[in-house]
This record gives sequence, structure tokens and C-alpha cells, in this order.
Amino acid sequence: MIGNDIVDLQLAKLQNRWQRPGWLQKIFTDAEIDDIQSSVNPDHKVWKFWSMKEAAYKAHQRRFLLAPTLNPKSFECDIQNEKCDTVRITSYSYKTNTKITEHYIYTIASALRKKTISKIFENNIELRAYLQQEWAARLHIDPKHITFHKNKYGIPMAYIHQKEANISFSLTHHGAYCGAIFQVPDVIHTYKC
Amino acid sequence: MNQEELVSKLRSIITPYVQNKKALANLTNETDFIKDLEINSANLVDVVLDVEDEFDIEIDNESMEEMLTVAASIKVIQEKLVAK
Repeated sequence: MIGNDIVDLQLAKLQNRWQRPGWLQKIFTDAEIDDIQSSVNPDHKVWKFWSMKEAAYKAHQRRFLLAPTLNPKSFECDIQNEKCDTVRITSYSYKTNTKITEHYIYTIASALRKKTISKIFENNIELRAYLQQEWAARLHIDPKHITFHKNKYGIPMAYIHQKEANISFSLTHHGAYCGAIFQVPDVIHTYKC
Repeated sequence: MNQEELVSKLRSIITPYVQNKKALANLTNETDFIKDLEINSANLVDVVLDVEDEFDIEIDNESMEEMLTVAASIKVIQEKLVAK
């Protein structure tokens, strides 16, 4: 139900030439391309939209346990409402929140109404170990009882005492940066956009 | 163009984007671009564009959805070549 994506802007400049003819058209809708081309900083807009689609794709994939697909254009970004960016896919929508710095762009996407914690790291840490510590502290258990395995679709699943844990989470890393978002275990709050 | 030639051309196309060179050496039909070769998803679009250029075909969005493994990509290329 939740997803996140981080883009290391310096690395993206090296790896991805978005100006390549045809590249934008494979990923973005006409409305998104218009927005990018009329932006003060098109580079930031490209990676903001990209990370919104990736974060929503991850949230959607985890929510319905879908097989991986390459369909970024099916995820439509809507940033008209200043209070809340949204990504739509078929009849579903995810609220997103994007942080833009000169070094990275980070987006979280959620269809959850529960409290989540999101953290960005400006170095490459072992994110699963971070989750183990955070959840263990909140659940008052030994971190070693929290384990992770990827399912057949490559989606990481969490297990507590070898039973599938009902905690939504998403991890992302790119270049020098990584991030984690997770549903706070056992605490119920209204998710505010 | 036979299967072997198609795989060989596809391999040349994906090579510059592959971050896991070891997996590239052990390429099979089942090899997954993201999971095995660690090609970043933004570069997958470059792969699709390169394939279009190399084979002079057009890959619509629906066909692009599937192009995550060697086998799936070969299938799409063959379909589009036949339709030419």
C-alpha cells in the first residue's frame, strides 16, 4: 500500500539522458510532457514525475501482488492540487509527497490511512537492518526475529517469527542515497496528506 | 533473422546498461533485466528505444509492458518484425 523512490540527481545525469528523442514519450503523458517543457527546472520536473510513478507503481504492485511490468505511462501524475500530488492508475489513486533538493529527489506514495515513517539516508546503509531496529524497538522483540525475503515477483516481504508480517514498507536506493518508508507497527493514525 | 542472431543483437543492445556484468556472461532466455542484470528501470526505456532503432520497428506501450526478460523481448521483436 506504500511505495517510495529516490533519484540521485548527479548519477541520473550520467546514466539517463532524458533529452533523448522518444524517451519522454515512452514514459510521460502529453500533459506531463507539456508541464516538463514549460517548467523552470525541467530536469527536476522529469525526475519528480518519474519518482512519483515509480513510488506509486511500487505501492500498487505490493497492494495487489502484481507481476512486474514496464508501464510508466499508465501511471498519471496530477499536481494541479497544491495541497496534494496524486498518481492515478486505472481506477486507483495514490497520494504522493515529493522532496526536492539539489542532490536528490525523493517521493513517497500511499493509499494507506495509517501513520507511516519515512527516512532518507545520505549514504548507502543496510536498509533492512534499519527496519529491523525500528520495528523491534516498537514491538519489543529481538531484531533477529524480523527477516526479509523477496517473493517470486521480486517484492521484499517481511516476516516476524517466520510468519508474514502485516506491515507495509518500501525501500529505495540510487547512487549515494537511499530511503525507507514503513507503516508504524501497531499504531493507528489517520494518514494526513 | 534466427533466434541466435536476435539474442546476439539484444545482448549488444543491453550491455552498456548492465550493472551486473557477471549475470550478463550467463545470459539465458529467463534472464531478467532488473532482477538479474540490474539495469535501472529508467534505462529499460533506453533499451526499448535502442531495440526500435536496431530492428527498425515500433514498439507500442502494450508490448513494452512485457519487455523485462530476454525471452519476452525476443518475442516482442519477432512479433513486430513479422508485422512489418
